[in-house]
Amino acid sequence: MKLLILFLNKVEKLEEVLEGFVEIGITGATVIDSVGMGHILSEEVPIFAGLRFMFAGAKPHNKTIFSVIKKEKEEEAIRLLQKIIGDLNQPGTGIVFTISLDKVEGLKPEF
Amino acid sequence: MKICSLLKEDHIFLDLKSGDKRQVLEGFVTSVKKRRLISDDKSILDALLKRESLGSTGLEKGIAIPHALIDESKEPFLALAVIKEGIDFEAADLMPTYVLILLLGDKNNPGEQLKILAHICRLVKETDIVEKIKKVKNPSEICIIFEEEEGKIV
Repeated sequence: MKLLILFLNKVEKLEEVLEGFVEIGITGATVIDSVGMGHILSEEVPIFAGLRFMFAGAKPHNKTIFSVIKKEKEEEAIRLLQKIIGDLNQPGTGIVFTISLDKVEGLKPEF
Repeated sequence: MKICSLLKEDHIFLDLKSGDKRQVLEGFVTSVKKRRLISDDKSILDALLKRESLGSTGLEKGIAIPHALIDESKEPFLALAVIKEGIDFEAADLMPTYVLILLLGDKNNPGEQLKILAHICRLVKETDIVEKIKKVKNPSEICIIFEEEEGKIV
Protein backbone atom coordinates (compact mmCIF):
# COMPACT_ATOMS: atom_id res chain seq x y z
CA MET A 1 0.00 0.00 0.00
CA LYS A 2 1.04 3.58 -0.54
CA LEU A 3 0.23 6.87 1.13
CA LEU A 4 -0.35 9.50 -1.53
CA ILE A 5 0.12 13.07 -0.33
CA LEU A 6 -0.93 15.97 -2.48
CA PHE A 7 -0.42 19.65 -1.68
CA LEU A 8 -2.96 21.21 -3.99
CA ASN A 9 -2.41 24.88 -4.70
CA LYS A 10 -4.98 24.95 -7.49
CA VAL A 11 -7.76 24.56 -4.93
CA GLU A 12 -10.39 25.08 -7.61
CA LYS A 13 -9.40 21.62 -8.88
CA LEU A 14 -10.25 19.88 -5.59
CA GLU A 15 -13.62 18.49 -6.64
CA GLU A 16 -12.21 17.22 -9.93
CA VAL A 17 -9.36 15.54 -8.07
CA LEU A 18 -11.69 13.76 -5.66
CA GLU A 19 -14.07 12.78 -8.46
CA GLY A 20 -11.10 11.45 -10.40
CA PHE A 21 -10.01 9.41 -7.37
CA VAL A 22 -13.46 7.81 -7.20
CA GLU A 23 -13.34 7.04 -10.92
CA ILE A 24 -10.09 5.12 -10.63
CA GLY A 25 -11.23 3.23 -7.55
CA ILE A 26 -9.61 5.20 -4.74
CA THR A 27 -12.08 4.79 -1.94
CA GLY A 28 -11.18 7.55 0.47
CA ALA A 29 -9.06 10.59 1.14
CA THR A 30 -8.66 13.12 3.91
CA VAL A 31 -8.60 16.79 2.93
CA ILE A 32 -7.05 19.42 5.20
CA ASP A 33 -7.06 23.19 4.79
CA SER A 34 -3.45 24.34 4.76
CA VAL A 35 -1.26 27.36 4.10
CA GLY A 36 2.04 27.45 2.25
CA MET A 37 5.27 28.78 3.73
CA GLY A 38 5.57 31.50 1.08
CA HIS A 39 2.21 32.98 1.97
CA ILE A 40 2.92 33.04 5.71
CA LEU A 41 6.40 34.53 5.32
CA SER A 42 5.40 37.19 2.84
CA GLU A 43 2.08 38.20 4.37
CA GLU A 44 2.41 37.56 8.08
CA VAL A 45 6.10 38.05 8.96
CA PRO A 46 6.83 41.78 8.52
CA ILE A 47 10.60 41.45 8.07
CA PHE A 48 10.05 39.62 4.75
CA ALA A 49 7.56 42.17 3.39
CA GLY A 50 10.16 43.62 1.01
CA LEU A 51 10.67 40.24 -0.64
CA ARG A 52 7.00 39.49 -1.32
CA PHE A 53 7.72 39.36 -5.04
CA MET A 54 9.77 36.19 -4.44
CA PHE A 55 6.62 34.40 -3.38
CA ALA A 56 4.48 35.67 -6.25
CA GLY A 57 1.91 33.03 -7.03
CA ALA A 58 1.74 31.82 -3.44
CA LYS A 59 -1.95 31.21 -2.79
CA PRO A 60 -3.59 32.30 0.48
CA HIS A 61 -4.69 28.71 1.10
CA ASN A 62 -4.08 25.29 -0.29
CA LYS A 63 -5.41 21.83 0.42
CA THR A 64 -3.44 18.89 1.72
CA ILE A 65 -4.89 15.56 0.62
CA PHE A 66 -3.91 12.23 2.12
CA SER A 67 -5.04 8.99 0.57
CA VAL A 68 -4.04 5.41 1.24
CA ILE A 69 -4.03 3.64 -2.11
CA LYS A 70 -3.11 0.27 -3.51
CA LYS A 71 0.41 0.09 -4.93
CA GLU A 72 -0.96 -0.72 -8.40
CA LYS A 73 -3.03 2.51 -8.38
CA GLU A 74 0.01 4.72 -7.80
CA GLU A 75 0.98 5.44 -11.43
CA GLU A 76 -2.65 5.85 -12.49
CA ALA A 77 -3.28 8.30 -9.67
CA ILE A 78 -0.24 10.42 -10.55
CA ARG A 79 -1.24 10.46 -14.24
CA LEU A 80 -4.75 11.49 -13.24
CA LEU A 81 -3.46 14.34 -11.10
CA GLN A 82 -1.21 15.60 -13.88
CA LYS A 83 -4.17 15.53 -16.25
CA ILE A 84 -6.42 17.47 -13.87
CA ILE A 85 -3.91 19.90 -12.34
CA GLY A 86 -1.46 20.24 -15.22
CA ASP A 87 2.32 20.25 -15.08
CA LEU A 88 3.16 20.04 -11.38
CA ASN A 89 6.59 21.50 -12.05
CA GLN A 90 4.93 24.86 -12.75
CA PRO A 91 4.76 27.21 -9.73
CA GLY A 92 1.40 27.52 -8.00
CA THR A 93 0.10 24.10 -9.03
CA GLY A 94 0.94 21.55 -6.37
CA ILE A 95 3.25 18.82 -5.12
CA VAL A 96 2.49 15.12 -5.04
CA PHE A 97 4.47 12.22 -3.63
CA THR A 98 3.90 8.75 -2.29
CA ILE A 99 5.30 6.83 0.64
CA SER A 100 5.36 3.05 1.06
CA LEU A 101 3.31 1.80 3.99
CA ASP A 102 4.13 -1.29 6.06
CA LYS A 103 0.75 -2.03 7.54
CA VAL A 104 -2.71 -0.62 6.96
CA GLU A 105 -5.97 -1.29 8.76
CA GLY A 106 -9.36 0.31 8.28
CA LEU A 107 -9.32 0.89 4.55
CA LYS A 108 -12.71 0.88 2.83
CA PRO A 109 -13.25 -1.79 0.17
CA GLU A 110 -13.20 -0.59 -3.43
CA PHE A 111 -16.51 0.75 -4.75
CA MET B 1 25.64 30.77 7.00
CA LYS B 2 28.28 32.71 8.93
CA ILE B 3 27.60 36.39 9.46
CA CYS B 4 31.27 37.06 10.19
CA SER B 5 32.25 36.21 6.64
CA LEU B 6 30.37 39.36 5.58
CA LEU B 7 30.63 41.58 8.64
CA LYS B 8 34.18 42.93 8.71
CA GLU B 9 35.50 45.05 11.57
CA ASP B 10 35.37 48.25 9.55
CA HIS B 11 31.67 47.57 8.89
CA ILE B 12 30.92 48.06 12.59
CA PHE B 13 29.84 51.38 14.13
CA LEU B 14 29.56 51.29 17.91
CA ASP B 15 28.47 54.89 18.50
CA LEU B 16 25.84 55.80 15.97
CA LYS B 17 23.97 58.99 16.85
CA SER B 18 20.38 58.72 18.02
CA GLY B 19 17.49 60.55 16.36
CA ASP B 20 14.30 59.63 14.59
CA LYS B 21 14.19 56.64 12.28
CA ARG B 22 15.05 58.61 9.14
CA GLN B 23 17.89 60.52 10.82
CA VAL B 24 19.41 57.33 12.17
CA LEU B 25 19.24 55.54 8.81
CA GLU B 26 20.72 58.60 7.11
CA GLY B 27 23.49 58.77 9.71
CA PHE B 28 24.22 55.08 9.33
CA VAL B 29 24.41 55.17 5.53
CA THR B 30 26.55 58.34 5.63
CA SER B 31 28.94 56.71 8.11
CA VAL B 32 29.25 53.67 5.86
CA LYS B 33 29.97 55.89 2.87
CA LYS B 34 32.62 57.85 4.80
CA ARG B 35 34.52 54.60 5.19
CA ARG B 36 34.18 54.12 1.42
CA LEU B 37 32.29 50.89 1.84
CA ILE B 38 29.50 52.07 -0.49
CA SER B 39 29.47 54.67 -3.23
CA ASP B 40 25.87 55.86 -3.64
CA ASP B 41 24.46 56.68 -0.21
CA LYS B 42 21.45 58.62 -1.53
CA SER B 43 19.94 55.80 -3.59
CA ILE B 44 20.62 53.33 -0.77
CA LEU B 45 18.90 55.56 1.78
CA ASP B 46 15.93 55.94 -0.58
CA ALA B 47 15.73 52.17 -1.02
CA LEU B 48 15.88 51.61 2.76
CA LEU B 49 13.15 54.18 3.41
CA LYS B 50 11.02 52.67 0.66
CA ARG B 51 11.36 49.28 2.34
CA GLU B 52 10.51 50.78 5.75
CA SER B 53 7.34 52.24 4.23
CA LEU B 54 6.08 48.65 3.75
CA GLY B 55 6.44 48.02 7.49
CA SER B 56 9.20 48.43 10.02
CA THR B 57 12.21 46.12 9.85
CA GLY B 58 12.45 46.42 13.63
CA LEU B 59 12.27 43.01 15.28
CA GLU B 60 11.79 42.31 18.95
CA LYS B 61 14.62 42.40 21.53
CA GLY B 62 16.01 45.76 20.37
CA ILE B 63 17.31 44.99 16.89
CA ALA B 64 16.30 46.09 13.40
CA ILE B 65 17.50 44.90 10.01
CA PRO B 66 17.03 47.73 7.53
CA HIS B 67 17.59 46.16 4.12
CA ALA B 68 17.30 46.76 0.41
CA LEU B 69 18.14 45.19 -2.91
CA ILE B 70 20.48 47.36 -4.94
CA ASP B 71 22.35 47.27 -8.25
CA GLU B 72 25.86 47.82 -7.01
CA SER B 73 26.07 44.95 -4.52
CA LYS B 74 27.71 41.93 -6.15
CA GLU B 75 27.64 40.04 -2.87
CA PRO B 76 25.55 40.75 0.23
CA PHE B 77 26.81 43.72 2.22
CA LEU B 78 26.39 43.87 5.99
CA ALA B 79 27.13 46.64 8.46
CA LEU B 80 26.24 46.84 12.14
CA ALA B 81 25.59 49.87 14.30
CA VAL B 82 24.88 50.29 17.98
CA ILE B 83 22.83 53.24 19.24
CA LYS B 84 23.50 53.46 22.97
CA GLU B 85 20.45 55.59 23.78
CA GLY B 86 18.11 53.42 21.71
CA ILE B 87 15.62 54.76 19.20
CA ASP B 88 11.99 54.29 18.28
CA PHE B 89 12.26 52.13 15.16
CA GLU B 90 8.58 51.13 15.28
CA ALA B 91 9.71 47.68 16.34
CA ALA B 92 7.37 44.70 16.48
CA ASP B 93 7.40 44.69 20.31
CA LEU B 94 7.20 48.53 20.49
CA MET B 95 10.43 48.57 22.52
CA PRO B 96 13.47 50.76 21.72
CA THR B 97 15.97 49.55 19.13
CA TYR B 98 19.67 49.53 20.03
CA VAL B 99 21.26 47.49 17.26
CA LEU B 100 20.89 47.99 13.52
CA ILE B 101 22.13 45.54 10.94
CA LEU B 102 22.23 47.08 7.49
CA LEU B 103 21.80 44.48 4.76
CA LEU B 104 22.25 45.34 1.11
CA GLY B 105 21.73 42.59 -1.41
CA ASP B 106 22.08 42.10 -5.12
CA LYS B 107 18.87 42.86 -7.05
CA ASN B 108 19.59 39.84 -9.21
CA ASN B 109 19.95 37.48 -6.25
CA PRO B 110 17.12 38.22 -3.80
CA GLY B 111 17.24 34.65 -2.48
CA GLU B 112 20.56 35.36 -0.78
CA GLN B 113 19.03 38.29 1.08
CA LEU B 114 16.08 36.15 2.13
CA LYS B 115 18.46 33.54 3.58
CA ILE B 116 20.44 36.13 5.55
CA LEU B 117 17.28 37.75 6.91
CA ALA B 118 15.92 34.38 8.01
CA HIS B 119 19.25 33.50 9.64
CA ILE B 120 19.44 36.74 11.64
CA CYS B 121 15.78 36.48 12.67
CA ARG B 122 16.35 32.99 14.07
CA LEU B 123 19.55 34.08 15.77
CA VAL B 124 17.73 36.94 17.48
CA LYS B 125 14.80 34.78 18.56
CA GLU B 126 16.82 31.88 19.90
CA THR B 127 19.76 33.63 21.60
CA ASP B 128 20.64 36.69 23.69
CA ILE B 129 22.87 38.08 20.95
CA VAL B 130 21.38 41.58 21.05
CA GLU B 131 22.07 42.01 24.77
CA LYS B 132 25.65 40.89 24.19
CA ILE B 133 26.16 43.23 21.22
CA LYS B 134 24.84 46.17 23.26
CA LYS B 135 27.67 45.69 25.79
CA VAL B 136 30.48 45.51 23.23
CA LYS B 137 33.32 48.02 23.59
CA ASN B 138 35.46 47.01 20.64
CA PRO B 139 34.39 46.02 17.08
CA SER B 140 36.62 42.95 17.25
CA GLU B 141 34.26 41.46 19.89
CA ILE B 142 31.30 41.41 17.50
CA CYS B 143 32.58 38.56 15.37
CA ILE B 144 33.32 36.44 18.44
CA ILE B 145 29.75 36.96 19.69
CA PHE B 146 28.24 36.02 16.34
CA GLU B 147 30.33 32.87 16.13
CA GLU B 148 29.42 31.84 19.68
CA GLU B 149 25.71 32.48 19.24
CA GLU B 150 25.55 30.92 15.77
CA GLY B 151 27.05 27.81 17.31
CA LYS B 152 24.00 27.56 19.59
CA ILE B 153 21.41 27.43 16.82
CA VAL B 154 22.98 24.93 14.43
